[in-house]
Amino acid sequence: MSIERISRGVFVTLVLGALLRVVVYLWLPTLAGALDGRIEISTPVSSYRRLHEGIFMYNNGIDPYAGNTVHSSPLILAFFTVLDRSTAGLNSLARVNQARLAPISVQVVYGIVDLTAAYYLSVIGSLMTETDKFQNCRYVIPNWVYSAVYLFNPFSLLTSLALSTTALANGLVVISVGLAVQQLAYTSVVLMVFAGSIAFYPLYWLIPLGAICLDYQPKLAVVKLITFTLLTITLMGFICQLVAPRSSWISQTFGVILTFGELTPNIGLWWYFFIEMFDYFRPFFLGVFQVHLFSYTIPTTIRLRRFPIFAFTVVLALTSLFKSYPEIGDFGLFYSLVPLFSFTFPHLKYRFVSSLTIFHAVALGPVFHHLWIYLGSGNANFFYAITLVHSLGFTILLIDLVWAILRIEYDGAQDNTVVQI
Amino acid sequence: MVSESKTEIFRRRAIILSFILVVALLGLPLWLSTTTVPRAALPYDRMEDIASNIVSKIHIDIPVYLSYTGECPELRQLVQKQIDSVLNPHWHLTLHNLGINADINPNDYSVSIHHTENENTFLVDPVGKSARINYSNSTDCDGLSRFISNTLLNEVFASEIALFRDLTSTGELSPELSAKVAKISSAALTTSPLYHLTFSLMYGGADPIAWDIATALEDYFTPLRRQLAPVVNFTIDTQVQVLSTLSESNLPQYNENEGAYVLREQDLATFVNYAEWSLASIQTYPTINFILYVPSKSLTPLTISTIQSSAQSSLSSSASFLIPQWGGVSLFNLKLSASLADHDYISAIELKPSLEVFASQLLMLLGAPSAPKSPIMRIGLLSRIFTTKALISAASTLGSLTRLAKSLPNIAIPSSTLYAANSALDLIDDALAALSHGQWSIGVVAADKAIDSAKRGFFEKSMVQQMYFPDEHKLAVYLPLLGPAAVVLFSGLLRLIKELKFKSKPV
Repeated sequence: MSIERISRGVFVTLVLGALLRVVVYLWLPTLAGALDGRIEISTPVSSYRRLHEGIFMYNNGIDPYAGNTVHSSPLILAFFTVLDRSTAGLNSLARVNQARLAPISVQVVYGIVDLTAAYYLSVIGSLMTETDKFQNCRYVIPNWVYSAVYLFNPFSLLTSLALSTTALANGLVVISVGLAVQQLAYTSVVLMVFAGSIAFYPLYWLIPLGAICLDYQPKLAVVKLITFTLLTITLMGFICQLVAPRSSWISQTFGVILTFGELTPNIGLWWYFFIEMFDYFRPFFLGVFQVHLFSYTIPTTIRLRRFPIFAFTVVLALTSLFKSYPEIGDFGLFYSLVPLFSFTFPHLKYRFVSSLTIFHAVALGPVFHHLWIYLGSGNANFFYAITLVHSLGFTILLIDLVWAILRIEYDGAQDNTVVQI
Repeated sequence: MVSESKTEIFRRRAIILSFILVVALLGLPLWLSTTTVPRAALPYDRMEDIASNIVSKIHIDIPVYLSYTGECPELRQLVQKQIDSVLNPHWHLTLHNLGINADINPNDYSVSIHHTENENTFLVDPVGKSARINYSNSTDCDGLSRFISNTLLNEVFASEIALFRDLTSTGELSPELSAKVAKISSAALTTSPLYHLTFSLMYGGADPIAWDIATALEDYFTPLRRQLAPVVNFTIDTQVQVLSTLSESNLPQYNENEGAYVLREQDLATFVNYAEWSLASIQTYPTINFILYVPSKSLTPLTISTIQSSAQSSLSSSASFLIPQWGGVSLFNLKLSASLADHDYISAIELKPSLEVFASQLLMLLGAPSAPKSPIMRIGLLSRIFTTKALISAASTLGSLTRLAKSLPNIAIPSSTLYAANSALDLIDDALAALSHGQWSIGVVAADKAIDSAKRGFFEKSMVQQMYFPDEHKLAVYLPLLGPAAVVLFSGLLRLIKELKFKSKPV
């Protein structure tokens, strides 16, 4: 299937997105650093500041994983090191402001990934067949909206401006899904594995991604695809080992994500629990939390087999909800995918409740964090409570979406009196 | 309701199964591996054996060489017999004849027996490890052997025998012996392979003062340190503190008779001004403090009045006393004639008497009796006493570990504990073997390592931690989260089983 020509709407959106990033880069040089310091926007595993530290150590022949600072994937570390060296001239030409978090070349890479992902989101929107299955539910929105939501929704935008590596992983994930929809299954798997090397959890999403690939490419050999996926993962591990030989990169990247090695507050559900945890039970409950997170992946994919992109979105949302180091970028990715299922919107039951709860939490979260950390007039409970509220609102939205899809699957949403399926 | 199609039924079952498989394949192994209490199989029999029989396993055999050229051919056997009748095999002397021309090994005990015109006398070498016995004509072989054994048991090895009897309590101590032992052991610090020594110059005045302590230590203290090296090691620091005034409550009074300020003996206990002199130690191992106290010029000269003071001490410029289990104090009076403008400087030579006092105080603080004068004998004694103490302590730690492990079936025994216990047992065996072969310094090192290993095993951090969680508590921790999840899982599983049962029967 050939890629359709970029429609005018999408083109204008992409230009505006690029323009916004350039303007912010030129006029707000310290913004990235300030955003990087916010726990809602960057976590220890995604912070660019730590990656930058790693690049510096790598360039100076120090093992970046020897300390307990750098948790970025060796692949991304190597990529940015090479970028740093090859664009040193460009960066010095741009007369980098010392207050800036990153040189211009890095900003360009983030921008390119963002724009590509936004473009692919519009491709997904135009190619996805979920809508075709239910002609009567068609609820058409123009393609540029998908791109616009990705480029301008504040969650994704702030994550991208903070240069959190989650922005890169999210971009790769969207591109990967776009390639799968375009029947390029193998390339898509490679990109997803690359995203997995950055943020780990995209490796789980290979399962719903496989469902997407099979749905759009029915002639694909399943065994071949699985073998290829495993080979790609092995290759990724091999390359990482090559980049960071004789170092503890596994325990410092995936290990920290899996064992919640850096116990700092974030907007997730883990940190408070593990602060209160008796040391003895810590390994056990780490296992429980991780198994719980993984346990939804396969059943969700099976249950929503007929809507693989939606299954992918649900798995992604559950991961964002239950992962060890969530940040607003994870939720931003989910919100960017939700417009793809605009045909479900008329059947949502709690639009008002869920959106207000989320707004409430988003407004109060930074406030409570500020009260706790800087003013000392609030305590950790305030902040944790508001993250619980956020999770609650997010869960309501997710359940509502799943309900709407199942409702449509059941009888095409003909009978509005159906309250239980 | 629309009835489920075949594919839908299959899909539902696949979902239930996938949940259960994740729990069974990932969850259960995780649960087992993270919560199973590791219990390594400790060598209980060996540990209990060592713990209860350590005293009877100690066999110290000290060779003593007799150098004798007299008329009693069987003298060695006679003396040996008499010694055997008094000593038990746990602490024993074995006599050997030294050939006429053979050299005496300075590391071995030797007794040289000489003929004299006068009455029987003995002389214990104040420096080496030898004793000299002079016997008169009138003494026959039997009498001579009795004299030799008496000299050995009641003079040369008297304190050691007393200390050893006290340690191993193989016999009732006579009141006089136990008083002796109490005097020795009350001054001693806890046994450790490493001590920290702090030499402090405390000056009561405010003017600058200096001392050549580095040279003095090198010259007068290092030889002792070298000799002690096989038994104990030291880290050393020194400090100078001015304005170290005595506490107001016991300022010394001027005594016209002596022409000096006199500290009464009862004031010595409060002499060290712990509140104001910074003497706190940051070491994890025991610290011994040596204080050279230089009184301010308004209190010079300062002396200590003791009971028998009038005779001897008033003239001595350096008086000293021992603070049991803490350290020693020596007074040093500056020459008043020196002009005040000069920087007061205490040279190494001037420090010599004080350092010699400190050296002998150190031996007492380590638990060496004052009886054999010879430092080399006292060090030999120390090494055996240290080894014995360390062995008993290591064995009792192993015994505690055994009791702990057996009485608490829930307690974790990590492999590090097993390793530590095994190495402690092996080291104890090594030390015991070294003792019975007369290799004192090897013995003391092995025993110190044994005590270390035993403690490492007993105080293993992860052992204690899990004791706070009896099984009821675990249930309380698991249920709130896992209970609801388990209910959902099991109800799904039950439904699946029910369906499969119905399917097999005709409806």
